[in-house]
Amino acid sequence: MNHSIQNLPTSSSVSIPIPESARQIAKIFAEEQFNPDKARQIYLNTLSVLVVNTYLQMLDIPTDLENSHSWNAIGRLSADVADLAIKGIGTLECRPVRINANFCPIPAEVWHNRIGYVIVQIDRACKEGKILGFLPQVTSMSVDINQLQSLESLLEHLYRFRLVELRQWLIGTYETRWEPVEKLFAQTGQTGQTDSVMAFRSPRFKGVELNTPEKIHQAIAQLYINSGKGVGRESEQSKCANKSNIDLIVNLLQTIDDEEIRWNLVEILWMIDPNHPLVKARRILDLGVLLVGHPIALMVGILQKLDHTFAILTRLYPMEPKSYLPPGVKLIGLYENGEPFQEIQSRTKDDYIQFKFSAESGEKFSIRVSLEDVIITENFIL
Amino acid sequence: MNELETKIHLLIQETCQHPQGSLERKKGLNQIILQIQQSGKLFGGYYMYNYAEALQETWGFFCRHFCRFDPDKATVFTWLNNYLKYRLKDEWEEYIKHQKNCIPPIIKDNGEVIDPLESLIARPEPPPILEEIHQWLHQQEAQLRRVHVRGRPDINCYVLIQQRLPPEISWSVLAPEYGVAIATLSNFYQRECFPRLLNFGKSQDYI
Repeated sequence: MNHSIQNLPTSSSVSIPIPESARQIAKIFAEEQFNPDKARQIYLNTLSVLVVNTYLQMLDIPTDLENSHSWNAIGRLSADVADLAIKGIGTLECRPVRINANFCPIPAEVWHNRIGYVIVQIDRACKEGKILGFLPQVTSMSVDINQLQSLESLLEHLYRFRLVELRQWLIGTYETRWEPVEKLFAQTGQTGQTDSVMAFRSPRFKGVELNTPEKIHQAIAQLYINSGKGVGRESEQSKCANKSNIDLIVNLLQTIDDEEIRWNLVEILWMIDPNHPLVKARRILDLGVLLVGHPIALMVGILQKLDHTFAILTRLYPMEPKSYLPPGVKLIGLYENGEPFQEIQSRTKDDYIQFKFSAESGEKFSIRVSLEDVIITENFIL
Repeated sequence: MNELETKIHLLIQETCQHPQGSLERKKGLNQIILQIQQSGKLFGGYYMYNYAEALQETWGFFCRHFCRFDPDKATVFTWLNNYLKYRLKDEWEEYIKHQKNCIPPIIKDNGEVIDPLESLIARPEPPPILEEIHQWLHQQEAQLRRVHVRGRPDINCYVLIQQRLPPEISWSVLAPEYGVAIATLSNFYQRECFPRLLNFGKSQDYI
């Protein structure tokens, strides 16, 4: 980060103009209510949501107003909500206060299912909303507006909550921080030694390191036998050529649904043709910056199954050649509600730890890596 | 060019070096907006008709195109104020032409600012949708009673939805009545009751 940016003030509020069209919507929503106090609350809630919506749009953060409860007639009638859905991230509560208020009431029905709370000060004429700041969590009836965090920390907070859209990986679109696996391992090796780093990563099959085309071919043949299909005659003609190994793998991958055999095939294909369209949806995230002193990377690979659901592999690697994971690193899979569905921990001399699972289109899950006090959570959607 | 202008120009230059969609770029743009607003050098027109509309368009324009800004041609304030004045002129012409998007005055005759909240008119009677919700609750009573706080069949979706529909009983009254924490009640409501209510709304095309 540039030096001059750090020197600028960070604890200020941004003013957003409120156009007449916003007041008209707020009036319509408010006048659906039959309790005058609730009508006034809904008026301010609506303006507050629109102010935050405008601000996020200015910063190119896509929102989903139509799918917010505050934009739903039953939502407004049966609760005091001022929520704004943010695409791929979650729901932000946008609570209004008037000028001179020191505290902002937070109704209990919005204490849950929110990724944060933004407080908006609306002026007397309702022509301007000042976004005062944000809080990541609230579980009390009101918050002190002098205790709010800056908008800069809101932006950082939203960034942490964003979902990685795994379907995009299948069509070859990735966020830049998720890097190709080869690139990361190449960086960690000395120049000219990349091969030896990659060789260390060679998959093993029944204890044999697959580091020659012959051994790979034998492993594929064994997988054909395991799948009950047999290798077939064509393999005899070009025993040593990688191309035929690739064809054999692709052929078997497209016809069998045994998960273990499929992942064995994928591992081999990753090694001999990492950019093959069937298996290219695999990326790695460098966690070294966060786990200070421990160069570790999280790999996620996804594979479409024959029944159109998805198989997912998550794996933690040490990034330095010929090294092991520090003992006690945990790799945890979490359902959308935060309940764990898988948890494994590294022992001494683990060169990687991993688990696999299946998920359906639209499903959300998180992968958490923890070591001592540091917890890193990445959120995904399929 | 003064010190503040130079500072903002530098900040724009730095921010534009970060890739689109990156956190650093968003943080930089947030800082630029703050600096411009705090300078007080934006053309002010709070009491003008359609000033908020013109200003919102101006910010939208700025945020989309700030990397096209050229400090050799004008200062950032001149650039923004020119755009803002053109938008005000457009808005004013629209207003004169149509009159229909007439904006209500914001100042009373005695000079006091009008608070739009004072002129809101709540419905005299509950909306029809509320009656429909009560009918649905009645029909679904058995099912909704089955969904309850663990170990507390008396705290179920049926009773809680009823208690939270207007005129609602406040959380701080309900919690001691049930002898549980407010968060326990509101969490259950948020997780189990509210989504069922919204689903009913969806089935009735209320969304």
